[in-house]
Amino acid sequence: MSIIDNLRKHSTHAPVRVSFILTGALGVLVWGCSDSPGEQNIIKKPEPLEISLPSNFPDPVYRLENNPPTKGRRNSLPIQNLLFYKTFFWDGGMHNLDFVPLNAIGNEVEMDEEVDNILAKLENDAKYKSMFASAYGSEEITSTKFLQALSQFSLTFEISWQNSY
Amino acid sequence: MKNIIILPTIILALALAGCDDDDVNSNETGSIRIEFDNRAGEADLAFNTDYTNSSGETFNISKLNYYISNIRLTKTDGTEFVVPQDSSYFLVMEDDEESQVVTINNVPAGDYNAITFMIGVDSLRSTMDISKRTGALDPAQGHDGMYWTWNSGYIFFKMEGVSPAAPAEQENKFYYHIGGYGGYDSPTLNNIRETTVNMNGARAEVRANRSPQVHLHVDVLQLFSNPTSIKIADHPSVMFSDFSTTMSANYVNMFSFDHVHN
Repeated sequence: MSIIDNLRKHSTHAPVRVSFILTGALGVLVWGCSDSPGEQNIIKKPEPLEISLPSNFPDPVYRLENNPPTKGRRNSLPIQNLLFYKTFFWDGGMHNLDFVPLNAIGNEVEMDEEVDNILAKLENDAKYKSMFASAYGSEEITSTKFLQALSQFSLTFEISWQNSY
Repeated sequence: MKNIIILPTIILALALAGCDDDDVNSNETGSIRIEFDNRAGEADLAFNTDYTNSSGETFNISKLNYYISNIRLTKTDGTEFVVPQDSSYFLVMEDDEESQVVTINNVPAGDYNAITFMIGVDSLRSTMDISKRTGALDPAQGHDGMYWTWNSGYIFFKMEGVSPAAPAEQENKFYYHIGGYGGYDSPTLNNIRETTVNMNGARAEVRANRSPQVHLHVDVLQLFSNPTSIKIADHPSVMFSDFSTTMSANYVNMFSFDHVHN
């Protein structure tokens, strides 16, 4: 009998709250990281994610107990039909697709990178230089060209019209 | 003969007119430099040095950055020169001496006695295409974190430091990150502020061969007192919140004229 079955048995009306707790796997990981003496371990233990299911929902097929989910701080947005979006991110705080990557690039829990550094890497790569030259007519790689190239890329992902998904 | 009288009169009039204008050729252009000298009251501002605000709180500063934009220069005759917008965005940073002197080129020759500018970035530019965000405005170039990537807006004014009045749980640090251009399609916080600094009777004389330097004082103590008294203890961390408008209403009063070199 699974954890979910167990909990569901005791509560037939209210949504079943299933709590998953981290097991030793992470503990081993953290232990492995702490082998430099005197250095504070800064890896925070992820919090378990509680999943509530209405009582009339079927049992999950995926065996969550083998891979207990934990809370994440970031969730990506759907990326189809970006051509038609007026705002971006869950709170709609962004109004231009060109600026969307800056958040993911700079944020410390995502790429923790700087655009300056990315541009320097691209400029040191002959292949990218020639690709920028053929796309924009000059080898110069600027933040504008870089961000516009990312937008072109994401715009080509999906348009739902005549799409087989 | 009448001409004998008229001709010298005209010549004299022209000569006097010439004196009046101090030989200003309005077709000439020159440049003007504006120095933003950060201070704490009478003292030149230095990082990690203790100052006391009007509420008696001791504090020091570890970061001070602000945008200056949309500069206009007023002549003694009341006419204005509006600096072309594309050349009118500057980021002043306390830890970058070069950034503290703003140079404006192609200024029509004349005597100027007031400077008007915005602290922050106007709403139009804040919503422009990425290709219009060059130099100090390039959000991809870092600029010491003067851009909020989650709501696509510039941080107009950023000041950080340490004070015993700030809570221990944030290591006695205080943070003021003030921005907000009024919202893209629905109104949000608007902290765009403009100030006019009068040169108290002095004049910046712009000529083709003369580049005056106007020295402004920027007093951080005003942030805590003018006109609203702000205690670090009550507001140790102000970012995108309603109280930020009280802070911008104070920091707009940090700027004053000190002297000019012609």
